Amino acid sequence: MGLTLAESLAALALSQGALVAPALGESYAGKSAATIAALLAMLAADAASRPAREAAIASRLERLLSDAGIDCPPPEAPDRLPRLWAAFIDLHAGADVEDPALARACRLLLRDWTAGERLVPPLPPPDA
Amino acid sequence: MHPDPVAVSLAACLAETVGRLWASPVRIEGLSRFHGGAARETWRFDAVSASRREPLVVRRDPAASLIDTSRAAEFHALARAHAAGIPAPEPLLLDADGSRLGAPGFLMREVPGGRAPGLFDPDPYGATRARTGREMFAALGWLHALVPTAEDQAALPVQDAAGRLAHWKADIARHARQPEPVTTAAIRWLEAHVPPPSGPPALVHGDFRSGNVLVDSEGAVLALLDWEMAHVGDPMEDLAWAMDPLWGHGMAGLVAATLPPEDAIAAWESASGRCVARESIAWWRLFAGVQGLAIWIASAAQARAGANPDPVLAFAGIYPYRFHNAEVARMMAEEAPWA
Repeated sequence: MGLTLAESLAALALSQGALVAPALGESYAGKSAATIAALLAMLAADAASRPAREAAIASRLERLLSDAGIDCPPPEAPDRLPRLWAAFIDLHAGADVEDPALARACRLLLRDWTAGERLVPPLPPPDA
Repeated sequence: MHPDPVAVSLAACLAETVGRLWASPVRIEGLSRFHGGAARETWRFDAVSASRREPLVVRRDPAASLIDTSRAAEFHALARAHAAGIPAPEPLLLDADGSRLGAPGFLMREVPGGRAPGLFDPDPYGATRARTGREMFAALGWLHALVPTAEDQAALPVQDAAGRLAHWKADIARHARQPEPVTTAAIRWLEAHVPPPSGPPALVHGDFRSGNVLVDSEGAVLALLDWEMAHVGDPMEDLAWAMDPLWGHGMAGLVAATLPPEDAIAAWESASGRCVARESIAWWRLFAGVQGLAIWIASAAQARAGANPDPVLAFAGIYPYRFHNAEVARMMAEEAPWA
């Protein structure tokens, strides 16, 4: 078995940060290379947990929408998550007008989802 | 290393442009690009003639950029601030149509000896943070103490709170490619609760944050940079943006890694002669998050389009996008008046 996406990104982050960026120094190119290294490192960590996070939020969206009597796209629908979000946006807008408890549930869902989506900045390089 | 064709072309433009300005032959030395501002290209260089050598900076539009703003407006704001004694680089020449610099842009004098912190720099000011904070928020206050003139209102966008919100809402509609449930909910609340003006209109920097403040090793503020989002509007916008946690370098309880919020506000109130509109702080804090999301969503669109290879565009569409998505969602779930 070859490298997973997360492993690939982590390996590339290491190469970029350890080989490419130092070679280019403090120049624009060097700092751009360091930016890429930092991004790759963050995306590697993100990729490892993405499938589980997407499944969890899809499940939570579906429960909320179903409880509100809204039909959800089938599990096999290719654009299922964007469609769930589009339905959620409409549900939240209506709840803000007429259902404070549901509106609060919507806000908590967004808080919990986005908290899990946050990326952890890479540690600064150790002093030489 | 192969010569950068962009740098070679730019050096030729600069030599001719500064040569005409000085009425003497000029050569360009030490041309190097600053990293971090994908919205514009910013390069420093030494202009050298037979009788003088000056460190200058050129700022111009790239092929694609984060924010659609005018170099002429930016030049006006910079000139206005510099003339008023606010720490800012001295503007020298505007090329509004790009016929001299290769793209719309301007020249200014370099401010030597300073550094603006990077987004991930921990505790960027160290033991001098209090001095930096006092001077930073005093400089902002002096800006807000200026009374916008007719020339200011002709040269700069004039946008109150509702106008700024409409501007960013339209920007998001133009650039978003996926559902944005957090931004949509936040805009809905902001539209329903637009506050009255906090006072008379002011000159607003528009991107006042730690990364746009040049500071020396003693903590003294040398210059406020990047005036491209300057406009006439409500100064609460600048305060809320400066205090946004994205620019806080992870230092809880401090604003822009410098002062506790009340001390920063006190420095600003003393310098500006204004009072913070405390009843509208929540609105402006949420607005700051939405503004950020608008900028990061636009950045993602430009990274996706591929016209500008600068990785800062992709970075902006990933890290700060998720940061502000989470921060706005957290505010609306946990804090009054939303929770």
